[in-house]
Amino acid sequence: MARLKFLDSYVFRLALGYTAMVVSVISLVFIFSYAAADQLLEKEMRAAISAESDALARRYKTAAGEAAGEQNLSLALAEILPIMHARDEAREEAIYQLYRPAADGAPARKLADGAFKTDLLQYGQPNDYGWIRALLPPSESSGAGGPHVRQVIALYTPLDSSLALVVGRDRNQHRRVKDTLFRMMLSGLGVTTALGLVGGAVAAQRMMRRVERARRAAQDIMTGDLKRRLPLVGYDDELERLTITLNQMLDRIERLVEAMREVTDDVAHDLRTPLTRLRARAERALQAPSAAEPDLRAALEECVQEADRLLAVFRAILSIARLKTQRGVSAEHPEIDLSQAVADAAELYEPVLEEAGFALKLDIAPDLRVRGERALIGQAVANLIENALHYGRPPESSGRAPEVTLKLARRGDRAEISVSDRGPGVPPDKREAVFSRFSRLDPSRAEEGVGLGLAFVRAVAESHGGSSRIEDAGPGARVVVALPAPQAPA
Amino acid sequence: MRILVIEDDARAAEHLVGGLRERAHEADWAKDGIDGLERASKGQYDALIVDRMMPGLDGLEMLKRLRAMGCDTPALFLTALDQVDHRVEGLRAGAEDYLVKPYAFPELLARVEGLARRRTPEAAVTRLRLADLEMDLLARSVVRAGVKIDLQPREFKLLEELLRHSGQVVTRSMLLESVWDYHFDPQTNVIDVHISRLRSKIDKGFEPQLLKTVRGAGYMLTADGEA
Repeated sequence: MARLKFLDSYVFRLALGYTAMVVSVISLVFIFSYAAADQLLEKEMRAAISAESDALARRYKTAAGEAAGEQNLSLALAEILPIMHARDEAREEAIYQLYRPAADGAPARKLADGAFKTDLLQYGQPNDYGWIRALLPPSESSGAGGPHVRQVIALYTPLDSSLALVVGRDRNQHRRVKDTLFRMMLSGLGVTTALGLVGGAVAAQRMMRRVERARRAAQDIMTGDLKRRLPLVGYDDELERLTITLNQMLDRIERLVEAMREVTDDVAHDLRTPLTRLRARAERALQAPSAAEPDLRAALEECVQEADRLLAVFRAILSIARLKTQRGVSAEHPEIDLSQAVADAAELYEPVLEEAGFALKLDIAPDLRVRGERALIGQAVANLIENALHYGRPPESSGRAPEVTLKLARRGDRAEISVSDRGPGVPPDKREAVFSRFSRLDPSRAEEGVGLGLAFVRAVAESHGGSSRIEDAGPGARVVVALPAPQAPA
Repeated sequence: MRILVIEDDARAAEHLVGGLRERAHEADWAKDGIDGLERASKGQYDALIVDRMMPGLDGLEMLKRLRAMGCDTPALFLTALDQVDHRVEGLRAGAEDYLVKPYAFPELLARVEGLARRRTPEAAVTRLRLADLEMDLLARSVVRAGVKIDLQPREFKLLEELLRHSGQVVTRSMLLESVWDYHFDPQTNVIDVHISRLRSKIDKGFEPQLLKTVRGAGYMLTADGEA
């Protein structure tokens, strides 16, 4: 079947179809022009015949004058025969004959002829205009091309009551011209067909190669190699554009699958440990030999606390995964008052910060609006403040007073929310890592917090089409969330 | 209160019904949406607890039908779906409140007890009062024992929420939702600090202490000695 692979190619079938169409158009043109050429040639032939007949008849009438009878024949022969013979020598297929017209029941009789001897009137009769068309059996002397049926056209011109002139031509004379024409057209058709088929096959082959490569890549992706992409060839054609779009689709799918896998990984990794702890605590309480009620109560309380922590982690994992997989904030999203949202979050946390000994400094630009979810942005700001609260306390030795600065400002076409503390800061090489899930700078504090705060912040920023980063607040850390906030047209 | 629990999971329902009965509520169990629709439509309940995802007739659809039949028993939606869209969907279907699974039982109890309150129209109320604490919603002023108390706008709202539910437990997340319109759990005790600030303004130097902490549940504004 491999040899017939072309027939399975859409492109080849397309080329085949085009070729067939072109060939039929060319054939039609050919048929029409062949017929037109034939007609033109016959017209010219008739014109020549009738001009010759006229000339010969005029010559006969001048010579014959008022004479009549047998004398006429000899006169005619003397006048016409030399011319006829002269012409015969030039053109073998020319017909020159003299007849005695049919009269009183006697058939027409040939009186004299040139090189062409056949009695033409036996094969055809003149029509109303004197034209005779006749098909003659092949004769050996019929020139090039071998013996074939000869088609003859001739003009019958009465000279007087007893004499008629027949001048004609063998139509086969034109056969050579027409044969050449026919051959040319036929080879033209052949070349067209061949080019169409070869071109189609080449195009099909190239197309098949590209499609086949893409198909193989797709198959690899399907069987699990999600990193694989469809190959590009480097021309900006429609197939390439399709491939680019497909690759973008694959990128998106890969991100989604990645996010899903993160969830399962996180569930496996970060829920298993606290679950084990929870289980162990309950088990220990059960096995204690003297299970006094206060002890059991304390154990149960611990279990509930552990369960609550677990649920908090679980919820955080889910919200991050959801933010990553969901359709983000789009142009249709309603605008919210970002200044108000940030101020609300600050207001919620101000007492907690104060109680923990932190001074809260606010620098919130008024009337900044962005497209987005107030709840998500509020939660992100809350996470940033909690983060500063947990990790932003200045080291005892520094002598700095604890302080959190919450700032909202426009910077170009972005609205930047930043929360700075005066704590130990984040070393430059860790500034990206803190945004990943479950990262804590100090492993000894692994018990505190969930470590998902900044991961959530980043997920919120990205779902709004924004970004997040950590800077040196000199001293301390500054986490910046930049959200798209197009300038209102003036 | 008479409460109908519509929940397809028998163990979850058993916990719920048992817990409610321990708190001196009458509680019945409907095992699915069809059953729930039938019982609830007889209209003898003060509150419904509806599981959102049930086989057959799900909670959302059941509640829509119930509301279409003219039954206005307040309903609390229980669900494992905690996206904003889902919450909005639930509230649109006619639920008064929405609680995401898994939940702490005191949270559920506080919300269910809060439900019945919502049946009485609040719009007409312009003054709220508890013992010698008075709030004028129009003048935005608070007076205790004749002494004017200055409150920040947010503190005012916090106190208003507690006053509207006086005698009932109000949980931290209920306050976070109604006063701040946030639907997440902060990692820090933000609400506690707000409450202690409010307490220092309305209770400090007065007797009896009105704003009480209910261990493991939340807060309650009450003039009774015991919470």
